[in-house]
Amino acid sequence: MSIAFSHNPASDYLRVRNAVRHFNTPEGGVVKALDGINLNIGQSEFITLLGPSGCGKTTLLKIIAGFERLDSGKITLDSQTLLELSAHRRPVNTVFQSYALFPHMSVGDNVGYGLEVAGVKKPERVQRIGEALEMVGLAGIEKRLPSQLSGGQQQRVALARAIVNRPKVLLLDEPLSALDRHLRMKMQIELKNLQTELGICFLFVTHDQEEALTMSDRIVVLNGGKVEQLGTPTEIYHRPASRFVADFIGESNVFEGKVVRFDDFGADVQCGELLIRTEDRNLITGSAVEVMLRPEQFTLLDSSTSAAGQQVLTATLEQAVFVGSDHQLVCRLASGQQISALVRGHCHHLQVGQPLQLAYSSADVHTIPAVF
Amino acid sequence: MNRSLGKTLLTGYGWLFFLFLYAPVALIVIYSFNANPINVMTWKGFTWDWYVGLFGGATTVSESSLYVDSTDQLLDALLTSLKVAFSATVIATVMGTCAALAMARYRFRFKGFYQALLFVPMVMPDIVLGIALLIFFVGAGISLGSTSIVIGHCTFLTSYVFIVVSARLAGMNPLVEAASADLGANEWVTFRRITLPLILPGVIGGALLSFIISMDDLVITYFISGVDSTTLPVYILSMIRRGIKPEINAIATLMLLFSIAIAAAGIYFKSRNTAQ
Ligand SMILES: Nc1ncnc2c1ncn2[C@@H]1O[C@H](COP(=O)(O)OP(=O)(O)OP(=O)(O)O)[C@@H](O)[C@H]1O
Ligand SMILES: [Mg+2]
Repeated sequence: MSIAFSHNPASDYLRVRNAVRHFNTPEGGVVKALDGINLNIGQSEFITLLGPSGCGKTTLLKIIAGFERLDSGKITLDSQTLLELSAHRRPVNTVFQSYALFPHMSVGDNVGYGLEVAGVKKPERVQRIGEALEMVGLAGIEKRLPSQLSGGQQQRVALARAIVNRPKVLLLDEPLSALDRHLRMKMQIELKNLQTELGICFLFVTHDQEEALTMSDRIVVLNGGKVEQLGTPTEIYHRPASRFVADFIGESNVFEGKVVRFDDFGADVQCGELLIRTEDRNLITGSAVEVMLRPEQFTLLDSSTSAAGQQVLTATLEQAVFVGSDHQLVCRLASGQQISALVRGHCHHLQVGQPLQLAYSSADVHTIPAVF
Repeated sequence: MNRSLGKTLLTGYGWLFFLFLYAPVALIVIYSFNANPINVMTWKGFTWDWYVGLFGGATTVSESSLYVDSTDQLLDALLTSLKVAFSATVIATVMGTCAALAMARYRFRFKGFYQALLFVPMVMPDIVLGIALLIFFVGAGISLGSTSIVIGHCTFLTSYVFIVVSARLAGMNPLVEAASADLGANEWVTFRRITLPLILPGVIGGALLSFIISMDDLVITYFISGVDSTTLPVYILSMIRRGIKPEINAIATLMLLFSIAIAAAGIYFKSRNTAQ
């Protein structure tokens, strides 16, 4: 996929080349946990690995950390080959999903463990432990045991324990998944700030797409051990490279069709009875494509608004759900296909079964090459 | 049956159960203070004589009714027992802990088979193990004595330590070892700073258990002890052959106290750890 190699010059600090890791299952099958992964990551990027359960996220982190071997492929960090180094020699640190704090050591000893093992002298160690704890907002709890902390505090200690060593890359495996929603959102912001402050590369695993979209500089979407797409949150959201990405990130309306006409300004795609206009200029007549529209790209037309310069779909309303400031509308097209639209403002006058005019701009229509 | 009757019966059963378990033990303790030198089970008044007599002190009973021939022999047997139990415990604890670590942390061929082999000495009838060891020592030209007893005890004590430490390892988050490596510690440092402290209660528990079992073992030891290396249980057995006399009760009571002390130490270590 060409977009996976989209290059910006600073982004070959951490390079993964053709990483392959297959597992033999007890049932006699083979799981392709990693199936030819390529990544180029910059020195101070916040990268999120996003994908469904079992797509290989944890496996990739373990391989970078040195807890899992690679069948074939290459990983370099700062021009240094990683794979020959055993885990304890790699300049990377991990924040584990379950935190994995040392239960028999105080918070201070936990945080200072890496420094102590590295032979840092006590006065400097104490100072750096204090600084790291302060960074995560837990100054002054050095004496406590991990069991005397809340889940969120343990998570921060795990974070402090990792960053105090000033790793070149920080690996985070779903570190926020055990936290409640409120704390999670708070920690998302803090993590992002911390990363900016430290200026080191964060490789963050999540299967929460919202989390990925809010925090990342770039997102790696993984599926079945392959990179589906690597791009900025906006790219991933608005220009998904595949149907999988379109479906996985956010809600989307996807129509399968064929290009029936193209000109200098875009193309017309025939999707069943529907003719959809797009401004994608790289399409040629006869090619099969999928077109995608996000629910929020529709506007609801009524008698007072005109559709000047916009395309219009007619659909029957099946359900309207109030979601805070917006209404989530589920409608059905004449072709039988269901579409969903997110419209602003109050829609109390809407009734189930009533026909609606949904307008969209052809500039918003994203096309995905159909794969057979 | 109504509810309260059921409850009464259940309570009664509970009492009976504990009576059944502890009455004989309580009797031994009580009768170790019985002043009747002939008929052990007929109460004739309180005395410390049997305890005093055990340690060679002057007693009010006549010489002939004491049958610890010499306190030296008894103390010798006790000393042998302690020495054997200590050595066997140290060796078995190290070996059992290593075996448990290997089984828990590494993958290798025939692992299940090796694991089963580690359990076998525990379920093997003592008499079989005793005879087997005896034949082995004789065949290998190892003279029977403290050394042979220590070797013999290690064969089954290792299994006990293995099981106790394995249970402890199973309850330990293996990720903390990964975390240690991740933070730059090599395997030795990880073992010393992380693994060992976390499994230590199991190791100590296994060691205490080994010590008690070794002190207490009769059947296997009986086969493999030499003439000049009698352990306490073997010595007591030889005393009983000449009839039950009150001193037996005193010895049994002392052994009981000793076992309770060790068990209490074990519980103390366990609770100290769960408090963390
Ligand atoms: N040691 C192993 N032996 C066999 N299969 C494994 C092993 N480790 C991982 N797998 C398989 O490899 C695949 C990828 O696993 P991985 O843990 O990387 O998934 P993940 O993306 O982290 O999923 P999740 O979001 O659920 O954590 C899974 O199908 C898993 O079953
Ligand atoms: Mg995972």
